[in-house]
Amino acid sequence: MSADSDRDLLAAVAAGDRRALRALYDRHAPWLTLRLQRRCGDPDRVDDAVQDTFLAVWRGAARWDGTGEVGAWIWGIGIRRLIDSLRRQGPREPLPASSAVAPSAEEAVLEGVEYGDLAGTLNRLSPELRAVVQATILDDLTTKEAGRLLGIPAGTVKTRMLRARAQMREELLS
Amino acid sequence: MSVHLEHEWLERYARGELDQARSFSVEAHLPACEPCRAAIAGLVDAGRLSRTWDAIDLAIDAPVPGPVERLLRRAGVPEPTARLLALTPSLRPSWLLAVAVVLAFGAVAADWRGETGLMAFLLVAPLLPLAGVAVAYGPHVDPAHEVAVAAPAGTLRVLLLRTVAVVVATTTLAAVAAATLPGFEWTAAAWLVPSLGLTLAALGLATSTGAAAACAVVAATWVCAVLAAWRVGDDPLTAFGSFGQLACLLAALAGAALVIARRDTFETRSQA
Repeated sequence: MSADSDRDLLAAVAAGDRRALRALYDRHAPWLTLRLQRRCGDPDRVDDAVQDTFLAVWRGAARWDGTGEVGAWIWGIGIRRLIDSLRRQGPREPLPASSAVAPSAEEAVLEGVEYGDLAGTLNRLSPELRAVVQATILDDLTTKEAGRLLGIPAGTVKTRMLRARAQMREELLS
Repeated sequence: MSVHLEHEWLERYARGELDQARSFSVEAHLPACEPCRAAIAGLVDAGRLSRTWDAIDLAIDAPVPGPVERLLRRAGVPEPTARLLALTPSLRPSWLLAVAVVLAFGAVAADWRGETGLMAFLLVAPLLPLAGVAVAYGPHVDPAHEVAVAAPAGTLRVLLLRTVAVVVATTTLAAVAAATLPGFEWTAAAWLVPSLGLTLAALGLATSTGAAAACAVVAATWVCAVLAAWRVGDDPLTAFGSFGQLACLLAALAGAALVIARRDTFETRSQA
């Protein structure tokens, strides 16, 4: 494992060093692939998005503004490429919201110990509500982008977010 | 980051079996943590990752499409067609700029010299698409010609495709120029049918002589005919009267008929 930081690698990519791009790819493509895979069930589409992402990194490395983590920047490109690709496909069936498995009763008890009730509350949200929480909070998408990713109108994203918030609040306060 | 993810979590996350709350933690942690990224890298199908890398490696070497091609792609034109059109020599900005300059001179002439100037404009306007077609496709003008000949697309299809694109582009420019003519009336549009006639006649001739020679012959004939009609009819616009328009229409039909009847000759001539 080379000791270069992500920032050094990105600077080298901006200077046209293809080996630096390869190093960045080896570091970031695996988790990016897995994370996008959890948001889109079509592996070919995910691979295309990963490919587009690193092409964008290659062509746009010089435009990185230097704030924040390189990994977060790459994620921002990747999820938007995936959304673009989903949007080109046109209207579609909403995906079954993530493949997350419901935790066993034993795990649910352990969770309460590990994190307080927050994790349990999150896991008890219905899949549609969880998908919206994930897209807007964790993936840092706008309402519109989240709607495109999940295949639902932006207005639905907003109402589901309100319902998720209300449900979590009620559970945490009761 | 001092706290790292348990390997068991990563394994379950990679298999899509980790519950939502823990997946949130994993996803928030990974982008910034090199040791955990390296740990999860071993859990992703290496063949899949290397296939994607190969595609990236190839795409980096591929030429970036120019603005014309990107515009066509956005308009829904399939990639091979967009590439063929974008490579047309007479659709390059420099060529279109030249066309615009010629038309501007024509319009200015029409403004200054009355009927004689208008004749000059009407004489030149149909020649512009013709000149564009002459250099749209052929071994001497197209740097990608040998590739195009070897491609599984028919030569005639490429030629027609580019002809249509060139004619649309130049005709649009000519229409704009004609609309700016002083005292705009029907005579300012009298070049439309002639440009159709000249272009199709040239395509018809191209079945036996090659595009460049055919365009030269047709252009010369056109200029002679317009000047001769001026002499005979004692009016610079004689050639653009109803008889001239009809003649151009007939030339167009004859050219189209020739192209259809002799379409196979394009395939064999294209190696010339």
